[in-house]
Amino acid sequence: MIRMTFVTTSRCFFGSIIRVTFLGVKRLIDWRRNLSFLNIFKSDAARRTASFAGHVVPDSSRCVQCGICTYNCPIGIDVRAHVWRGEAINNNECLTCGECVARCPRGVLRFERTDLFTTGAK
Amino acid sequence: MRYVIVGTGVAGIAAIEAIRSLDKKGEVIMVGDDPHGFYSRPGLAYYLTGEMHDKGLFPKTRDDYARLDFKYHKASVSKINRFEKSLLLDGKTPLPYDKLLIATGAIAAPLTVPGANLKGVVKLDHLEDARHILSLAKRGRTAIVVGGGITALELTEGLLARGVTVQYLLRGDRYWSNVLDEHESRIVEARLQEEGVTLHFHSEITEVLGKNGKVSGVRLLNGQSLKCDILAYAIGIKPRVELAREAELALDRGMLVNEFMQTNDSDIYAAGDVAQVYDPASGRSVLDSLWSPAREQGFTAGLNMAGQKKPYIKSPPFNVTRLAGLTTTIIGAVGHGLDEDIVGIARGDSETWRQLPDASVAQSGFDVNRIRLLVGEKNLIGAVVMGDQTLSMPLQKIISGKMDISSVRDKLLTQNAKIADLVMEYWSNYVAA
Repeated sequence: MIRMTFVTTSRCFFGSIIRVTFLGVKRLIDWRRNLSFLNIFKSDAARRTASFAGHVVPDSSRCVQCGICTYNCPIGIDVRAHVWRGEAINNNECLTCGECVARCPRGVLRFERTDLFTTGAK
Repeated sequence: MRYVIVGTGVAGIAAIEAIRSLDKKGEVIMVGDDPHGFYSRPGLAYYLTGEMHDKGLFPKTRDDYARLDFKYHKASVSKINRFEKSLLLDGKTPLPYDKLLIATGAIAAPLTVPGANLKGVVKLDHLEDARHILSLAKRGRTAIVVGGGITALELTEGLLARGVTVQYLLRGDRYWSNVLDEHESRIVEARLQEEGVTLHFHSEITEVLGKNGKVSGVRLLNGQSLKCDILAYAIGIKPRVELAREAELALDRGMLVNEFMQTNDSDIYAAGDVAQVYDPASGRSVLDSLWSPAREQGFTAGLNMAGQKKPYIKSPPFNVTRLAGLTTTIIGAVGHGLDEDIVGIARGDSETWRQLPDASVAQSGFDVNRIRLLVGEKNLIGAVVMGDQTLSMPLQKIISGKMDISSVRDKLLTQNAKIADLVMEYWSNYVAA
């Protein structure tokens, strides 16, 4: 799994290495992480569906800019910078894997559905 | 126009963003004595637990700084000369200003018992403190943590995560008694005990014991001695007002500012933990020690410094924290009175939480998912949400918007009411309307 990530993006490779040293092997078998790795290899079409179906939005007033979200993003999106500006994670590359949502110690981030073709949905 | 900002915290950075949104040409200079400049100080807690590495605590990139176009002087300010409108840096270099912002923050209130200067007695203010704690935790096996509030708990959790055995001392009979109710305190305490923390209530340190200049234990008021390799304290914070005092600016416990964040000198502003801000709604000047208000205050100060008259509107205090692994949101007025463990105000604290008007309490849930509401006559005035955070956003809006809850008030106050369901129902109806 680690090597696959390495192939995909170098930032994630470094992230994984740091994680091994800092947090032990336990995190690597975290199912969410494995799922997020699988996400990377979804076809582009599937990814687009995922990002249409939902995106990550912040409640900036809860945030203290600690950076755990950015640190844990498998593809290196600076999630924290979005939160500072009060913006949804509108990066096309976002896999909506939920790493940042799950790891934020202050519950800053949540998923919101983006139904482009239905109105009134939240 | 030259703007000078003293302090490298979030209030200072937000002020620069505000100034630059109005004035692209003026000269902006930031002065600070923290060797690391701007970083997430609340994030230090997660650096201690190992969830975050220290280099990741810096939110701004080189490009961000370039865009803000300001100069940074690493220096400490020795004096403000109000009559010449100039600062004295490091006791020698003068730095004139047109508009000055003091955003020096607050530091840990000192431990004032004999032996408090021994090696191994630590606090958590800066990145250097956190690094120091981690280096001690590599060798130390046992630690004593003293103090109430969030920082003391963060120290406890950080040391635990590093494999140190922790004993936690509280002067009172429960954890954070002025903000949490008894049930909430007990939840936190039970979770700490599960993690192996030994709690000592009604305990007060009278002396720090040492050997060869290093801490070896503490003596308590009841005569008992406890051994430790590390003593960490977080008994409250003190706004850094020395500069303001010397310059004879208006002071109470913090620097007094009006709603435009202006001190009694119209060219000098203050924001963040150092500022005690006038709140027109209550007619009082209040100290907050919270990240979000510091950012808003800094931003407001910046706008006013650059010429846009804009008042700071204090929203109901709101903080999110993690208490023994439980995400907890505290909104509005929820507690009362004084906490024996905290001198004045603690980090992540707001005085407004303790100014509790007449209210009834509605409670719901058990242990890990718990909601407590403080129900006023027509609206909700406070809430504590522990565990599941689904309702904290609606509650924040209901409380800050002073929304009329008359329609569900009686139901909320019935015994064993399903508070979470009622709030959710009320919120869904509101959103649908």
